[in-house]
Amino acid sequence: MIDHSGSPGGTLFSAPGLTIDAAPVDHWLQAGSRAHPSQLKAFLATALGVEPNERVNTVTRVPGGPEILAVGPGRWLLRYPPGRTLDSPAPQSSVTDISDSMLGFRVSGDGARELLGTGCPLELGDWDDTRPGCAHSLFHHIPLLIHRLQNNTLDLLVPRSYLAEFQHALLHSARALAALQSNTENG
Amino acid sequence: MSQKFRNLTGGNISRNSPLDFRFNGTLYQGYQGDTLASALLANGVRLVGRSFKYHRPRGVFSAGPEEPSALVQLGRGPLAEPNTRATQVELSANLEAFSQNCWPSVNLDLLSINNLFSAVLPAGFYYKTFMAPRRLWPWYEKMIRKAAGMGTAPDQADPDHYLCSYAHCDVLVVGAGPSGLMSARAAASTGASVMLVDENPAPGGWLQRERLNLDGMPSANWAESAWQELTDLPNVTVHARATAFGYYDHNMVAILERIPGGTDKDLPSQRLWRVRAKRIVLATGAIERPLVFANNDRPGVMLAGAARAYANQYAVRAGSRAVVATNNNSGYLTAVDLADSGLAVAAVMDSRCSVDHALLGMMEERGIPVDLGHTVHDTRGGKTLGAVRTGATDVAGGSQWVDCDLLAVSGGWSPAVHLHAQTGARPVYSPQIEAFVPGPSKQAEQTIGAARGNYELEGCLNEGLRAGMQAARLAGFDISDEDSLSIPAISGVNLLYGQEAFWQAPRPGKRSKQFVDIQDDVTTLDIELAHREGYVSVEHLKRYTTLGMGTDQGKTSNINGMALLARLRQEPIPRVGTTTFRPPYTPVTLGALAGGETGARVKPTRHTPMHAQHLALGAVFAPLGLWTRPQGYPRPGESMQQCVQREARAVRSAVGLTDVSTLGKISIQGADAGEFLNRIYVNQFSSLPTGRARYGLMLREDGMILDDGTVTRLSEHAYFMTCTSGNASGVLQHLEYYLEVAWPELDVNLCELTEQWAAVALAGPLSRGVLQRLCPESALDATHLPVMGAIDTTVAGIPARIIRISFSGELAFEIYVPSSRGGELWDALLVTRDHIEVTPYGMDALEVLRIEKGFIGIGTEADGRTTAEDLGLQRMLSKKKWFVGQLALQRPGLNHADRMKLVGLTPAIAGDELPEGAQVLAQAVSTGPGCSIGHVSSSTHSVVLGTSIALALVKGGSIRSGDTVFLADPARGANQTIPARVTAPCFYDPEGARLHD
Repeated sequence: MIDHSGSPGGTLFSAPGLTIDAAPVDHWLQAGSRAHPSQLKAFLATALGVEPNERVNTVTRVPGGPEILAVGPGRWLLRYPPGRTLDSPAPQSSVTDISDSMLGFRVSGDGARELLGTGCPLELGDWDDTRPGCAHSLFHHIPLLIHRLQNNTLDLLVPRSYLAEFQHALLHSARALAALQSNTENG
Repeated sequence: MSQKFRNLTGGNISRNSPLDFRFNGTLYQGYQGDTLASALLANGVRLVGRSFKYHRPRGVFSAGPEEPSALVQLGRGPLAEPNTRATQVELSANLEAFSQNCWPSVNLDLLSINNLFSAVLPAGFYYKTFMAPRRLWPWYEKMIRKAAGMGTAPDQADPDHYLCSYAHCDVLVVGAGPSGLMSARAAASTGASVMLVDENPAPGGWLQRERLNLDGMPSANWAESAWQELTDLPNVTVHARATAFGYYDHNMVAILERIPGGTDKDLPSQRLWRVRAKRIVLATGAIERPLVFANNDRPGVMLAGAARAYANQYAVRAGSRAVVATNNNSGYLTAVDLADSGLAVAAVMDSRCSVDHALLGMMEERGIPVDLGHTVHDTRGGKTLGAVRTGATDVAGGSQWVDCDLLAVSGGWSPAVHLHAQTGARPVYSPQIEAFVPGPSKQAEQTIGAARGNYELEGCLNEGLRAGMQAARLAGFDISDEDSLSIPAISGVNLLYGQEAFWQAPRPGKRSKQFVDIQDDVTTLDIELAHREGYVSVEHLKRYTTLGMGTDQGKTSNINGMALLARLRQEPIPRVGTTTFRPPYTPVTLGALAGGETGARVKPTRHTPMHAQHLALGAVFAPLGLWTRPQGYPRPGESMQQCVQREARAVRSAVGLTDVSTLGKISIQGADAGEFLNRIYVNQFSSLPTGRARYGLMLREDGMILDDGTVTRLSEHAYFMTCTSGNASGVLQHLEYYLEVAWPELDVNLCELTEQWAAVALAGPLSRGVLQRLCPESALDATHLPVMGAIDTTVAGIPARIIRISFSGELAFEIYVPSSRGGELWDALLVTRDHIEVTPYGMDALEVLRIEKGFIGIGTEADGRTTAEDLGLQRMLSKKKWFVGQLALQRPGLNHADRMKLVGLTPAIAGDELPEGAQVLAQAVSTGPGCSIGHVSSSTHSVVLGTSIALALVKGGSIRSGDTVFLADPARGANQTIPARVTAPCFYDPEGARLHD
């Protein structure tokens, strides 16, 4: 049973090549500037010590700081570990706390991408496996943010209100894939 | 019955794995590797089903997806699956199948009486016959559907479950015959990611059925070896039992994979793949076509390639004594293989007048007589074939009856161009092979091998090799070593097909049935009739006669039908053309298309942060868009109506709490945020003081109301907007559109916060006291927090924003907290303190309170056709600034005095209920269409007035105040109306004294 006031805890599913855990409840900021994106980028570079990537769907890792997900032109998501955040306001930009907006699951193992492919039409084959990445997509009509931490470790984050549906859809697929794998191995 | 038609050796079946199965209740045995069709034939079962229209006996006709006759119902109850092709059903333990379209049994089908009356049941007879009396058509239709059918769909929910998957690859190869296998090997050798799919359980296509050697091994073994080699490559995925059934835009192919049964309850029965590939290679093979002669549909008449497949692949003799009728060389291979498998082959009838001497030599070796320039004219028999009448191709009425129980026919081969044609490409006619072949591709696709009309094995292998390399190159892969792969060495009899068109045998009698479309019972007479009646377009012919419809979509019949139509039109076949090829190539279970999105999960459901609390309180939920929200919290023994009245009364007299987290919430920041809001809303927002909120109305460009909500100014350049729950995403899109397209110069940034904030409304005369106790650090009195005032503070220790907004007309506060703490806030507010009980209330009570106050609802009063003036909100329209929709409001039609405007209604007769949705009439009796002067948009039972009240949109609006109008309620009958009195739309506290308390 899911506690709707927070993230589900613990490991939800485990099978050879596929594990689904609750994704950590981190601190998220949305930083955007339609009119002055370069100033926002410069501000973030100064505040964080690392210049964020501008290329959409890439992730910039800040040692000891947040991961910066480029999600659109002049728009970044800053993912901080709990308890940490951006200290100063960004000029001519909007930085908004959206920590309570998203919850999700960490999917890991060789079957992670196949699991994602059971509901998400996105082509992930072009991702550079050596770098983290991110993308907005859908999973069975549910809005989805994919944050790829490593090649086969994905954080799948959805708007909080969809969490129960997402969990159901994800587990349904995971069980089906595990049964398929078992069926194949048993001939 | 033992498998008396099974040979002791040969075939690609596993004799060590016998399988019991039942057909029409009788127990039979087959082997692992059998199809249902091969197992039935092995057991001597010839009569499998009854035909669609005439209920004629039908047997197995093919050995693949083109099967028109052997359609069976699998399983029972909710697991029943109609219209499955016995030729594609893999035999499994305890499989249960039934004949369909017969009553009471396939052997004694009373509806076969249709066949006796077939002379008066030609194509389209029901269009002409069942026209009068018109009122009986529903009965006619029911009877026609009962008499003509294709199995029975289960009437219970499908207990199976299905999996959907998206996949991407560089090269998708459809078909694992010789061309497909070579193509996949070639593409894979370049490092490209390759997906190879084949509809059969085993790879190889026709290689499974040939008696050839490739690279020194039997062709079936070579195919399995190549498949295994591909399976082991990391850049290749292979899927057997996977039928590519649709080719869609942007190089997407839909594939249905059948999963062999298992015991795991989570194992899906089918998997629907949506595959996008950079390049697609279609190696879908060719389909053999039948010959058209009288009574060519009897059980025992079979495609020659199929008879050969049963002999070679399944070690099954499809009869005891065979005749082969052909117009091409492959018929001779069939005769050889049948003879070698133990059948007596009585004759080969070849419609051609001359053939290669080598073929004649092969026949002579086996003692098989060959009649050149001859064909089959007619057959006789009952539920199985007894004899065929043969004769010269150009003389009506055959000369000789030949006893046989198997007639193997081959009318040549048609490339399976279906997927290619689904790309939008038009197949072109090839006179060399008398068939349609792929035309110029419309997508990143290449069709190869037999699907392109290449029926020669070495050519197919070479073509596959080249196509695989080319596909990889076009997908961006470097082909440095093009010669690294070669095709296998072929040994064995490998004949060119050399077909000569032979479209129709002479008709022995005037009314003889020469079936063109065996599945749909379409005969040459039907085609001639259609032509006589003017249905000369191939598309019209299809609709009139049903040629090419049904589960097989004319795979074996279309080309013969087109050729006959061409002859009737006295035009070449290319002028007749083909019908449009549409997905699916073979039938697809609806469950596979739906996947997991069925029942309650047909669309995702959204829950508010307080959902667990609502469940604990026993809430009854109702959908609101994708959201599920409490409709009310009924107490034990309480009806929903009583519950709603109690909850609404609690708000009016004490204090109530409702969850409004579903409200759309948007942060609007930037130097031009005020100006942006001025343009979006009809009223002014740049002048709104910080810490204050304002009700706003936004219009579409056509002047109609789009949405309403509130905007709170948080700082000089930051605003917080709320909009209606159902319109949240639409409003955000509206704002984004204007920012991106119309006013990109504005310095404004949007951030959706619907999910970030949980929100509740605490309403009622005692609400301030309840809230103040939980919010000691801020004064909530009218001086410090006036109506439409906003503060950031804490409530029950939770960081919160309080805005004094009322949707009920009572003193009320909207409280926003981070979503993760929504449940905590709800629990804290519901605690009874100082004997003040806070009553949770749901959407229905909220609706009572709204209607009593005459507040508009988006979707009810603002229904997309109403302006601000229609709803009495004209004073909100700013004259100092421009706003979206302003110009459209000048249109005369939007200012007409007779427009429907918002009014209130009360019953003229005490106790009457005013039904929502009723039409408003000026007179007590309806005078017919056009007499309506409006409609009831919302209605409820008022807790303060103790009577039914309604909001309505009525022509003239307040001009009719005090008038009596009449509500036509269809539920009461057309002439029954309810008198109602027109009032102002606000029924309660019109001065707003309670709100300003």
